[in-house]
Amino acid sequence: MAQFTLYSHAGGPNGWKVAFVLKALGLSYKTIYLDFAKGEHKAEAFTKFNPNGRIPALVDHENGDFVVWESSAILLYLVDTYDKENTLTVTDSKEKALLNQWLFFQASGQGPYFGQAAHFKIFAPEKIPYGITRYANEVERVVGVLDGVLAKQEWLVGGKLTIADLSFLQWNNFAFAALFPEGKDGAKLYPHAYAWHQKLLDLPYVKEVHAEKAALAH
Amino acid sequence: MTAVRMGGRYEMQVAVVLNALGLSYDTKTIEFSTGDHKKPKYLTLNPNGKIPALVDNESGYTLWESGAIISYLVDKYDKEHLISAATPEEKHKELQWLFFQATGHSPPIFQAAIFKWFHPDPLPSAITKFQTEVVRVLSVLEGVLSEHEWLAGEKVTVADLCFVPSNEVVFGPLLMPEEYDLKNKFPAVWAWHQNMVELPYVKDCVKKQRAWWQNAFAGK
Repeated sequence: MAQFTLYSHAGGPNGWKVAFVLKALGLSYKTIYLDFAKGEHKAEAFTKFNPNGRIPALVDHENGDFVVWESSAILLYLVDTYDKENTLTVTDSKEKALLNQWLFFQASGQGPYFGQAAHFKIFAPEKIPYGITRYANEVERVVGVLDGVLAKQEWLVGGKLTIADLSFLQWNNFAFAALFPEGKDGAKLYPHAYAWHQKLLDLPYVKEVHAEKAALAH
Repeated sequence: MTAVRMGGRYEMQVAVVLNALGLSYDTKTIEFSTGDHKKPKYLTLNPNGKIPALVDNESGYTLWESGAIISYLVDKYDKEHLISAATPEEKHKELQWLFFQATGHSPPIFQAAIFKWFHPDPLPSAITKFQTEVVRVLSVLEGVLSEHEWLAGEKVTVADLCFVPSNEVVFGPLLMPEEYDLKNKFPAVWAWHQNMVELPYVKDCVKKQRAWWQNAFAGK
């Protein structure tokens, strides 16, 4: 039996984030893709794990079926518990705090606003120009913040690739493709962020996960 | 000596923890109306240009994102776990709630506020969208708090405390329609919030924040 069960969704970004780290650390897991159209994410069978009714949630069968939700908390649980060689994390307490800083920035500053950008631009039944513009501008601003930092350093924390860098990947993928303000080429305007993003896309476990994602679509 | 940059809602999260742990700090207020938070002097501390940021004056170490600051403070200074989780599993549950507050609680509250107060024309569909999400989040908390006194363990921790500042706005008179009747619809959340507001290290921070909001909305 696989060590972990990962509750996820084929389309959304955050389940894949956890898959990257599980694969990178060589951990065995089984993925259950919840069907949102059927309301599986709000049914008791899942909300008993995550009362918030969102994915991902992770169950660790080798730790008394320990359950954790919020993708950032899951990533930290995985590296804190199973990344003994610190391949994707840092050990110094100040650097750990910086790792958290970037994870919180991704969770509170990238995810929700890129989500709103997608909502207002693509999914909202009523086109609200203020909403479209506000969040597209915020997408650009956030990528700009990353670009400014990555112009001076190769990775976000500790001089190496960590879960902090990986946490931005899925939403940035969508952002570069579709969420920048009309007429703006994010890759050209923010080359350092874009180059870093491309490096992440090239990681073998990222490629593997993306291939699995693509296969699900068929 | 550490200095905390203040100026809005999130600094209360940090101030509460500093107070609870008896840590000394100076506060420097960043003036948003003159755009100080986006000027180079502040951006060197926090390239994201938001508050709070924490500076350890002894070492020059800086940190931003209130959730990360709170985690750093308890990891370093709360060795007796007065307001923080003791075991690794509890710690990850605590982080889970800190992230939920940062990503799922604050943003819809703040977006509801933006569309309600700062957009020149009324946009009811947008306001309602975010207000509805705020109510959904309260119902998530209600479900958990109906069965547990605290979110992450047998006592109040930073997992609970981090919700106070934004819930002050939610339960206050300015943001959510009165007919939502939140205090009665979500009694466990309301009781939990009230319990925390009365804590000695929270009381003064709440008073300050309420005064700030009253000032900000005076005459409106």
